[in-house]
Amino acid sequence: MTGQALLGEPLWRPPAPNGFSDYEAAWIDGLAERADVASNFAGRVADRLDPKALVDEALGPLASPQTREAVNRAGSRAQAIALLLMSPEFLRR
Amino acid sequence: MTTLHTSRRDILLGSSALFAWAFTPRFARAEGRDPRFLTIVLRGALDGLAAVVPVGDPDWVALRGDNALTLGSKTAALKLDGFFALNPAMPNLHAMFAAKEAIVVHAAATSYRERSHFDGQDILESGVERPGAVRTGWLNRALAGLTPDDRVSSNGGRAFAVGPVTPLVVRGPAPVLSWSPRRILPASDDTVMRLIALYRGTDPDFARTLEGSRKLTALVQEHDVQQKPTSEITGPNVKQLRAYFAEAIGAAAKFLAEPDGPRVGALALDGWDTHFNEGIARGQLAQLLGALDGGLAAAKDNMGPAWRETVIVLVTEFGRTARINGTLGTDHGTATVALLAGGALKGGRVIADWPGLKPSQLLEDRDLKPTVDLRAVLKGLLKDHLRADERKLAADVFPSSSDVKPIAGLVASA
Repeated sequence: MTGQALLGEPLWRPPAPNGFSDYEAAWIDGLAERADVASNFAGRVADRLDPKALVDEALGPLASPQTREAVNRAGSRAQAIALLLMSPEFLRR
Repeated sequence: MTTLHTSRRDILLGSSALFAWAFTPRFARAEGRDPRFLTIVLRGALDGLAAVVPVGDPDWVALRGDNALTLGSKTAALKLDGFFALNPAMPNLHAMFAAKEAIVVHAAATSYRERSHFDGQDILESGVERPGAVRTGWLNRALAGLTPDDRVSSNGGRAFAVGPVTPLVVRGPAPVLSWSPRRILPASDDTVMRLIALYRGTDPDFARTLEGSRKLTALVQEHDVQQKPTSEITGPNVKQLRAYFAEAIGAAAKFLAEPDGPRVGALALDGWDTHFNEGIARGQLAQLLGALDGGLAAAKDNMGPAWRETVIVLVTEFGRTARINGTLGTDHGTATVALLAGGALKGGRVIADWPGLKPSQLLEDRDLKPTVDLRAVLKGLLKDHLRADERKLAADVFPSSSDVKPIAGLVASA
């Protein structure tokens, strides 16, 4: 929940009656905070997820060679998962 | 796209319900002693030559050039003996060494000779020579194998893990408790640098945004420093890093110190994969080593009288290249250091069969050559400190390692 609030989208409390913004400018400024949250989150699931398999599951053919390389070369499973969660393909869907 | 959406949601939903809470098991006490044992895994491959510097090796300075720490460096290394010196970011460990409460084992390595962090960590923590072969760690199997007559009983005993994820080294048949620091550690500088590198090649908008916010963070930190002048190493995230390491290691010590608390535990600390701007004397690595050093000091404080029955061992999956690379860092190597701290040690010694640093003495003219099997160190500690059975150590804890003899005499009153 703290993570969600940090990302600028607190649960049940959208900043305007028409909900959260779909425009990129509204969330791209929070990219560094998003990296903190992703990093923290990745640290909590690293024992249960295999980063290389996760790339295939979550992104499959959408994964860029650069993202795959970054994941494979990460210093730990947790860092690999954080990089995957923060990859442009994952964030922009 | 449907698959993508489902997986993404699955991942996001996984973020809740991850914690088990610690309680205090009771151990039988034999021999009138009550040993404590903490394993700290440094993930990412610690540069052993930067942590414990072979200042007495005539080839040292030529090997690392301007990046070689020496006793006469601007930030001078701390003398350990006639040959080795400690990274200046670790004054507390240095004091423990002087008080005979620390041992350095140099040029040590696991049996792994490839260069994958994931596989290297698997072998380091599982104690099995093939990566991914088992889902249990050597520490847990050692604990499970102790009989009631052993120094630490597994009868009702529990291992514990500190951190949001239970490290493989302590997973297995013996029950494990886990506890996690409340503190949230921001993405490391290393992770952010890797993201910026990734974005530069794939998404310029993201790259610009992230670089911009990093500059901002750096400015804020600089401002802090100007207000409070200090000789300490500073940079983005340094305070948080120090606080996190101190809380994690300090909390582990508190659990171990409890009269009815667990006696064996493990935790893992990320961030040692220093390919870029390693910062041996004042940068990234110095910050990490400094935070680790503060954590060891917190452990000693929190242990109180139990410190004299404690052994903490710090291990990493492999070392780094002997030479500096083109981006002022080091790449994946082979041999490195194992650091031991605790009042139960027969300390004040660097244990090494030094392989030398001449090109012909390096492994493949590239890495520090391993001359000590890390399993010999771990087996020595498990045998003498916890009274683990040597046959079990050779068969179950570190399978097919009967050729690797435990190093004797690491513990003072063993």
